[in-house]
Amino acid sequence: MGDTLLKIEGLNKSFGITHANVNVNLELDRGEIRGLAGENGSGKSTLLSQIAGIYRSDSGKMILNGKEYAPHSPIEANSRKIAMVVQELGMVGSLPASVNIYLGKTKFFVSMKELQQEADKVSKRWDLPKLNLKRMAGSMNIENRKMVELIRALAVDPDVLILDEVTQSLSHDNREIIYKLIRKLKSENRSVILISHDLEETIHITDTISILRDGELLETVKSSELSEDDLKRKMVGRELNGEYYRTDFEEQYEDKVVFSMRHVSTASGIKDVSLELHKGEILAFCGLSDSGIHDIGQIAYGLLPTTEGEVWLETDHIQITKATESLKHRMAYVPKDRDGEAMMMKSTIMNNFVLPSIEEKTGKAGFLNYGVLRRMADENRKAFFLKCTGINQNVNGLSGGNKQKVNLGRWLAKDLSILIVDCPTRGVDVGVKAYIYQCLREAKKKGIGILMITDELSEAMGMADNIMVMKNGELKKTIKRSSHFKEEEIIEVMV
Amino acid sequence: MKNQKKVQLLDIVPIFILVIIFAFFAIASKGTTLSAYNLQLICTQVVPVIIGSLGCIFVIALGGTDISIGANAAMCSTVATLLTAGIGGWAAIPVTLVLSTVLGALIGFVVTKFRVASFMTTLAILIAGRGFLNFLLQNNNIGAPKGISFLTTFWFTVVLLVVLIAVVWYIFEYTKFGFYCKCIGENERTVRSVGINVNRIRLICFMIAGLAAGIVGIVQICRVGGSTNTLCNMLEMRVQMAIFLGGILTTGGFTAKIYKLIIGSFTIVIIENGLTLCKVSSALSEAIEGILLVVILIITVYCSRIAMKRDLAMAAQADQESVEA
Amino acid sequence: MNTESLNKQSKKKQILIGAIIVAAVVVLFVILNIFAKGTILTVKNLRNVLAGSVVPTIIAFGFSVIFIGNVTDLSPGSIVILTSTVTGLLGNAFGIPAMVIGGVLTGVVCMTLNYSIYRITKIPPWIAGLGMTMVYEAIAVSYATWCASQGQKVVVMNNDIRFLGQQPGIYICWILAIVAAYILFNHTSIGINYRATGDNEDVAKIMGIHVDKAMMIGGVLAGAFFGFAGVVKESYAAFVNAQSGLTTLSTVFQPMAATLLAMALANYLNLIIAIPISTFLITLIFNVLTIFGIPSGTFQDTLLGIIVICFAILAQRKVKGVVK
Repeated sequence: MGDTLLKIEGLNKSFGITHANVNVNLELDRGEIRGLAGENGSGKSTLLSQIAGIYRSDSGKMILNGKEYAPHSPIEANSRKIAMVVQELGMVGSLPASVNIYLGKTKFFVSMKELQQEADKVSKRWDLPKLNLKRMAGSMNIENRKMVELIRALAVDPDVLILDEVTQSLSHDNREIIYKLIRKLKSENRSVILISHDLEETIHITDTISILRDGELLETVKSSELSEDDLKRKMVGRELNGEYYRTDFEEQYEDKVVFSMRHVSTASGIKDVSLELHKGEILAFCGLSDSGIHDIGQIAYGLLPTTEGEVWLETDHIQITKATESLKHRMAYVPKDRDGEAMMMKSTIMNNFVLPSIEEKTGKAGFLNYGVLRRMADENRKAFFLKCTGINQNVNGLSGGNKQKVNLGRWLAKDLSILIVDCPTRGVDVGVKAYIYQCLREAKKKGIGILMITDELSEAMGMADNIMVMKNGELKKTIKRSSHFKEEEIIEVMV
Repeated sequence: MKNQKKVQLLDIVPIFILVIIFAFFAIASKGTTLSAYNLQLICTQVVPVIIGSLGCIFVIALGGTDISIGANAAMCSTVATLLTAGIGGWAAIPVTLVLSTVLGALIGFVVTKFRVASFMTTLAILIAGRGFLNFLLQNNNIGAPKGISFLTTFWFTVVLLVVLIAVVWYIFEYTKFGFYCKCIGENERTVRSVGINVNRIRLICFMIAGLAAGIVGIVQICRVGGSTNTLCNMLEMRVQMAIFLGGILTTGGFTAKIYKLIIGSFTIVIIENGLTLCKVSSALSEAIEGILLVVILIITVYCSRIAMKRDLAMAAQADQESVEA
Repeated sequence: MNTESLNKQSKKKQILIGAIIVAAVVVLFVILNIFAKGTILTVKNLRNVLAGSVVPTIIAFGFSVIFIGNVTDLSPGSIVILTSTVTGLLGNAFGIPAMVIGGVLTGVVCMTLNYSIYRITKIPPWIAGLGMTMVYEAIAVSYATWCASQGQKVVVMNNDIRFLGQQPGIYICWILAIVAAYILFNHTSIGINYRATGDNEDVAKIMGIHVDKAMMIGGVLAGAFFGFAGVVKESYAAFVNAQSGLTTLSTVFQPMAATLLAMALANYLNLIIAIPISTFLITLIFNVLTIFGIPSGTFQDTLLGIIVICFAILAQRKVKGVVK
């Protein structure tokens, strides 16, 4: 060892207000297997994407093999023998797998047979299972598609192979194949950087692990000197900030059940989920992004049809099957995708604000009094301290935090009994974050039942009366609020 | 600064366009455009365009389109005239309206249920409808329905137009239905996630477009004095151009306003009328209209992009400030 | 593996369904043939139908290019007519090679113009296409009226240069178009990059494809097909009447229906193979209608409209997300 292959110095990357990477320094040796560990949003994927040429860094430099390295595109990274398998599925579904492997690098004339043979050669060289590469990528299952992406990366003959959550969607057999592949790469003095939520796996297969927190690289440690518990502690290590969150450490709500789900399953993969939400309770849902937590919000609001089970709004004794009912019966849903789903970005604050209240504000003969609407929007603009030029400003022109205030505020302005929020503090600055928590606390005090779906553990622990942890569409554990809430306890169930 | 409304570029540009075009043709035609006879002609010609646009505006607000209204108008009025030939002219009015609304509902059904793009669906209906009209006219000579010639009188036209504008204005600008239509054009996913039945609204929008087509159809068949191959020909294009000339974006949303549609209708009719007065050949006028359509769309897209860029710059600044705070 | 065998099973099922459909179509035409007293399934009639399907097939290739690129543009009808006019003029003056080059070039110029308009300005293609249709129609009509003012009909192609439209030549064009389309679609980077961009622009970009370039090349390709279709059409019919008032839109409905059908069949067949087959079928249907005495331009159009909607429904089924 000691033969440095890739050196990263002072790398910075931010998206809007979030600093995804802050002054990251990293050195990777030839033949080294490096793991990256950190919570959701700690900047692992962003760091790898910059190395692989998917994002450009804001500042800092990389040196590969002693030469400056600043890739403009994944193709350029490939030509320097760096290849990455990304977390989301990135393939063109209507083209055969073999074409996908070489897409963007084909010569003018393309021989399908040749591509297939070459891809087969690559997969054989690295002892991967034989796949039918003639098939359309879109018709393959996730597991096989991952393998095809792996072949695409290996076809580059990489010195550095980057794997972002590759094993997550794989079966036991295929995981073993990946482990074998990694060992083989190491034996040929090539390097691997990988991210995995499975900490045991990470420790097991890597030589060293770098730990990231809030975009900063804290330290790099030898895997052999690390236990799983150590790693968790290092990853989390964040203290609960009393200013943001609740200061009490007991669950506090009334006995009355306001909303329930009974043995709900869906076509999207939710299996037998039941829950009871009480008056004035904050019930948090935690899990990885593909665990089905985001589906729960949609099911609860009647946006996602169930295949089995029932959703009941107990306050009104009605079953929720359609979102139109939920709107009518004092429920609210704040989606996760604020810019794409929740807001009409090119429209005014007023239009966005009054949208959920239109039904109540309609007067006789269906008359919509714009005076009333304007007054309502303007009052709430003041109530929620919106920083804007007026209610006729377009939402596009607001900061992330103020957008979220509109998104949440338009529901809180109504008389609610149930509030469903999906990742309420995503992409907002600290000030607004604290304000949103305050709003949620006030809503709780009013007796509103709150279903909070979140991928930030600290948020769930800081705010919730009960936490439900999900994995693979199933409910794994329910944890009550107490002073010794531990992140470790949740992470253990999540991954 | 409360409630102070910033004037959007898209809200005023169409008015300038109308004034400039009117002035241009007034000069180019050496004043013929301004003659009393011609002004009256313009007013007569603008009626079907305005009525058609009033129906179409709902679909356009959704971000969709309906280019079947001309064929719908011609076909339904002709069929109704044939069906009611034995009963009397009066019956033709309700029959036309019912038929055209049903056809609109059919389009809406295909668009919402099978998720076929509205342009494709309505284009197919346009071709099918014109074909069916030709089929009907092959062996029959179809005159106007008898006894309802009052439809063509000046006073009736004025009353009809005023009532329709008033009703649509109210529905479109001052009811929740109109509000939701515009919201769907802005972001359909938002409206869905709030819990509003988007499919039902879309279906009704296409029915309204059909109904308006029926009204145009029955009025025009009386005016022309019978059904012909060219009944309401190109009405759909005039309506599209009127709406886009008025400064409404093809994506619909809150840029859709009734006053813009009226301005746009006058603009397109004045252009057509002016080109005829200036003795421009029909082929050249078609080319001019085509280029105009593309240019107008480029201008509207450009205007909305300027507005968006300004917003995004503001957002970036706001984000920066919140970080520094 | 388990999934592999499952796929084999579903493939068997697909083949079975395909066989049933083919059998049903054959039976249908045999029955129709009996009703038409044997005038449909004669060698002569089928040969005429095949010859008649050549131009729509080439247009359908062009349509499949623009549809795959997620573009809805119906100006090709006017482009084909404009190209035919150019072809006739060039052919009479300079002979076959010049007219082929000139015709194809005209198509390419028009389609490139269209693609630039909606790629650069971001106007929705369907409306930009309508605007351009009016322009192209007007050019062709202006020429026709000029001819009329000179006391002539529109340009009529001399019989001695109509080789590409007569019986042996037209089949050569047909085969040539199919082979060219097949190679371009499946065996060149142009086709593959374009298909990738049309399917998923974001992924294509990450994979290193220059998406703007890929799309523009697609436009050129579509234009070449429409141009070639115009050349063959002029050679086949000797003259093409210029039409105005957006009536050219309906002239491409038959190939469009064929393209939509072929796209619906794409699960069973390679698109490029499916297109000539579906075009032939649709041409045959309208041939049958004509034999049964239903004149074109009237009830046939009605049927065509309905067929387009049905095929559009079939081809559209899998699309998710917002449809305007």
